[in-house]
Formats: sequence, C-alpha cells, structure tokens
Amino acid sequence: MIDESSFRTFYESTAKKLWSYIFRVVGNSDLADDFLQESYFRFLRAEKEEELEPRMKAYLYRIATNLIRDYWRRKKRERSWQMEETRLQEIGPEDKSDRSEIVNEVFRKLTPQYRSLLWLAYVEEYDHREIASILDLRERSVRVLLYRARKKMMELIQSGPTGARERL
Amino acid sequence: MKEPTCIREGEIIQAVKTEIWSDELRSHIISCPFCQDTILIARSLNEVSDQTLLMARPPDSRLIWLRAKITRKQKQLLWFELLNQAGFILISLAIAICFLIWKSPWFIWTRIERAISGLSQWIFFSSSTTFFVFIITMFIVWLIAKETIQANKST
Repeated sequence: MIDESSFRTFYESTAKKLWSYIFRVVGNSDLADDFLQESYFRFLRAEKEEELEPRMKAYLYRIATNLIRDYWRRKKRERSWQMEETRLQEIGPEDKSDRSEIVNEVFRKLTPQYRSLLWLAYVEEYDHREIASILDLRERSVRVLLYRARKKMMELIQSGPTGARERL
Repeated sequence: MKEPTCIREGEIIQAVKTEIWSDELRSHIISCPFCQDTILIARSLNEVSDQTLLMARPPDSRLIWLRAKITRKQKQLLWFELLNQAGFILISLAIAICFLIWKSPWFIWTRIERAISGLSQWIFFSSSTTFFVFIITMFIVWLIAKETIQANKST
C-alpha cells in the first residue's frame, strides 16, 4: 500500500488539477472541495498497491467522476449528467479575462458529461482508452461523445457573441 | 456514422501546451479543419484550466491521510470486536449445551433416541428440574446475545 510520503508527493502533484476538473464539471467550489477530499479518502481506503503515477491519477479521476455521477443520481437528476445544461457557479476575479469569459459561458452551456470529456481529453490529455476507463464507457462511445462535445462547443462558440471565435 | 478525426490530434494538443510548433505541423494545420478546431478548443480550455488552478485551495494532505488512517483502524477494531463477540457467543453456547447434557443426560439421550426411532409425539420436559435448567440456559444465551447486539450497535 502507498506510504505517507508517497501519498503526499502524489497529492501535491495532482490535487489542484483534480480540483479544477471537479470544479469545471460540477460548477461549485464547495462541492469541488468535498469531492476532492472524498476522492483521495476513497483512493486511500481502496488500499491498492502503489503503481506508476499516471495509473494512480487515472484511478483517482475515476473515483472523482463516480462521485460526481452519484451526486447527480442522488439528486434524481441522472438525466442532467447526460442531457441538461447546468449553471456553473460564478467564479473569482482571477477568471475574468475576455477569453475565459467566453469559454466559461460556452462551457456552462454544455452538459456535465461533455465538460468531463472535453476536460479529460484537452486539458488532462487522456487518450480515448483512458477516458473510457475513467468514465466507465466504451472506447467507441468516447470517440462518438467526444466528437459531439467538440461539435457542440464549436457551435456555441460560433453562435456566441460577435467575433467570439476570433477573440478565442 | 464515421466521426471526422485526425491522427495528429495528440501532437496538436501537446504543441498547444508546450507552444512548440514544428514547420511540418504548421503546414498540416493549414490544410486540416479538424486540427484548427482542436487548437481553438485546447487553447481555450487550457487557459481556463490555468486560471482554475489559481483558485484551487486543496487541504493539507495530512488531514486526508489521518482520516483514512483512523477509518482503517476503526475497521480493524470493529472486525476484532466482532470476532471476539462471535467467539464469546459460540463458547457460551457450547458451555450451555454441555451444562444441559451434564445436568440432564437422560433428557438429551431420550430425545435423540426418540428422534431416531421416529416417534412423532415427543414428551418434552418430563421433570421440573430439566425444565428449570432449560429455561436458565436459554435466559443466559438470550442475555449474552442481547448484550452483544447492543455492543455492536454502539460501536
């Protein structure tokens, strides 16, 4: 099992990125704090053998994604995970640049599942196989869903404020 | 339906992150609308990611480590306690049965004999002493079981 110092190193290299992922998918910083702690707690409780960092990180993201999905399920809003739009929380002054405002606006119009797919693919740089494992989907489904998510995001950029595409 | 894709998507995402663009990759982008969109999406998401990272205030790792450690210890203790109690109940039952056999051996043997011979009408407590011993034994077993359940609940 992972020891305390290895855990600390792993935590320091992944915690902020995981928090960003959770926050961008659920859109609420309090929930992101809770899910972050719970993800690491479950990760430790699983008492898995220490592996290479990328594999442990993918496993951690899988735990976090399951927590987010369970949250939607608990709220009887499973459909929201796939279908509906959810409002993202207003974010701090650090996030007020012109470009990021457009992206935030576009991102909040996507479903949590699309947000999750796009984030894992373009920010975390996971390939389709890894995303499939994290989101508990088939590789083929990831390809299709990611394509739809991209398409939707591009449509939202095109239909956004005049010149949004150029400003991005 | 075959979704449009590009085998160089991974390279593009990497280049967006590192800002290192080879001439060959640049010329590919000009002729590939898929990669043009990839750049737009990856660039904007990474910018948002950089800003979100500044907002992240994760707690100290020791808090999570300690919480997991305490839970692990509690789990171990609970198992130990359960095993202890299960063993205690089994030993108590064995003692109770031994006591019953010791106090009224004829009662047990008679019952076993009758069960084997297939008699349908058993005569239960043929003497008041046997009945008394039986009731006392059952009471002790019930008392132990009750205490165990209560102890489990409070744990």
